Amino acid sequence: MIGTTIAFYVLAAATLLSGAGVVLFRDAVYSMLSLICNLLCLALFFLLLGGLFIATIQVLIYAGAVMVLFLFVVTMLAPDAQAAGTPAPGRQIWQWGAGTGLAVILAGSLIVALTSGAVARDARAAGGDPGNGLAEHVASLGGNVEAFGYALFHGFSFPFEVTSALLVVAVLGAVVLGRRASRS
Amino acid sequence: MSTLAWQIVATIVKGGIAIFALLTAFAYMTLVERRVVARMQSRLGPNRVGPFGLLQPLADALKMAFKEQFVPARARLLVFLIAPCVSVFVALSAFAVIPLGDTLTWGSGPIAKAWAPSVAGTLNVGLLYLLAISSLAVYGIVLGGWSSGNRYSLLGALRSAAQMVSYEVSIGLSLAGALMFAGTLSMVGIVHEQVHLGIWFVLAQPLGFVLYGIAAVAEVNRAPFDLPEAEQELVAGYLTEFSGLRWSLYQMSEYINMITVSSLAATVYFGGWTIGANSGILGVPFVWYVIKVFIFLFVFIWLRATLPRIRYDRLMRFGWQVLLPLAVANLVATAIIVTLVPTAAQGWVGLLWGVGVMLIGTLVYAMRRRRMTRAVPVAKSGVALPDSVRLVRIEPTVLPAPSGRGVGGDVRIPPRS
Repeated sequence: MIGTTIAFYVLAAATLLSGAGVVLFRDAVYSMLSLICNLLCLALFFLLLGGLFIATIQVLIYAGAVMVLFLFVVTMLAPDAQAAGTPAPGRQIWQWGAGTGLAVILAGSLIVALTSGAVARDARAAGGDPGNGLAEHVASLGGNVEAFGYALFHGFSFPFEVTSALLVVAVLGAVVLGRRASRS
Repeated sequence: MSTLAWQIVATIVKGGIAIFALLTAFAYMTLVERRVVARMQSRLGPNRVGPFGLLQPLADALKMAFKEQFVPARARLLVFLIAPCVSVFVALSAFAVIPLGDTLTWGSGPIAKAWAPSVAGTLNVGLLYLLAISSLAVYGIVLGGWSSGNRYSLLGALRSAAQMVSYEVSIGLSLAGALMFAGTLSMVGIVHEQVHLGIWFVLAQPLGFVLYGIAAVAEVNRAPFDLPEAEQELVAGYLTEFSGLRWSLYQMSEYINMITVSSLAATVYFGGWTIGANSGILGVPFVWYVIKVFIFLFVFIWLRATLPRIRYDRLMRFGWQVLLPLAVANLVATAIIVTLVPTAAQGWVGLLWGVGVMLIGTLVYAMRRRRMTRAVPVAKSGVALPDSVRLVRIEPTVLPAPSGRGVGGDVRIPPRS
């Protein structure tokens, strides 16, 4: 146990340092390298918690795929401190309306799902009673990968959906920020 | 000692042995490659140092060790020094989950289990671990190219990043077909499942294996996919500014990656350390494994001596428009087979599907090729040329005026435009 505690603090320090590096480095490539270190540290955290599968996926997706694309773009463009483009033109009225309507529907259904108690019940069913040992629960489901799949598709479909909504918002934000101002 | 302590000791010792074996294999792969390529090109190859040139790797290592390790003035020093190490680190650690033999062949006590012949033991996400680690390989190359402060290095590095990212997708998808048959991510489990089903996955997944093979060659940047190192265009790509031991670190990682993808092919598609129910000669488990891997390595060398380098745009188009759709189709078909067909017949239905697709593909390609190579007269100049070169502007040549008829002899020299 003492070993785990020491490993946790060392890892935590490394994570915080690399996280600070992301915002403190002037050179975009070094920031990105810090971000990669940070993601690898997170993978080690998952490993420390016994989440072998999630740790592997963390390396595979973030360090292996996403950051490679970042690296590709950053090294190719070698961005300097250029001023950002002019702000994009305003939305159309119907866009505001449609966006608001969809947001209300989404928020409403999520609130209903949360308050009805179904989410908490499912999470308990999938994640096991916190009182019991996690290792026994994982073993009862037949292994790390199986436990993860069961939890993801049975208990944690709610946070999963919320995360995907967040990702869509992020993509839209990137499109809005990145597009050039129209000529007219 | 406790079980945990035994495991730690065993892992360290096994890691040391594996690293030593891999580095030796790397050194002698360079010799084998040079001799084999020389033989294919009717040359002799290195045969002066020791009997049959067997000490050549030693001489090369000494030469490399004493060469100047040049650092360009515009290099980012820290990254420049770390990048080759990243490459080798990733290549070595990817090998950790390759199973060289069964646990049972070494006994079943806790101590014997700790000494089971794969470096990291039986990891239950072994294949994912391997894919995750090898997806980091691209960093060594891109960082090396970027930190050199040289445009050619950077271009080579970016090409390689694009190539590796593109072909990684196909590797994952083609392996997923075999995984569906196996039903496990553990490398040992995959081999056991092949023994259990009585069929190698190369038979159940012939299309998946071919796709994996092509993508794996591209993934380790070997000929004919060695675009990052295209001499005519990019000097030596990301390797341009590296010399001495740092250069040989990159070479080392390339060869170790070759060994790893060969081991993966042997494990997932060819039953790993087993041949049928036989799992080793005289209790030594890794004989079959080594033989299989050596055959794959020979194919790597053979390919390099045979095929010309593919052009960059064709490489990308091939990866995204041919390999990836085929891999997805294979995955979907495998899912359908695994769901609908009874277990005993699954492998053979898979064989039927894979061979059928490949036959149809070959047929379509042959027909297209005939159309492309068939000579048709170009209306304007009256020159008989294959379809495929119709769009190329015909350069005036200095051949003597042709006489006689026929596809070859019918070419008339077009007037200078």
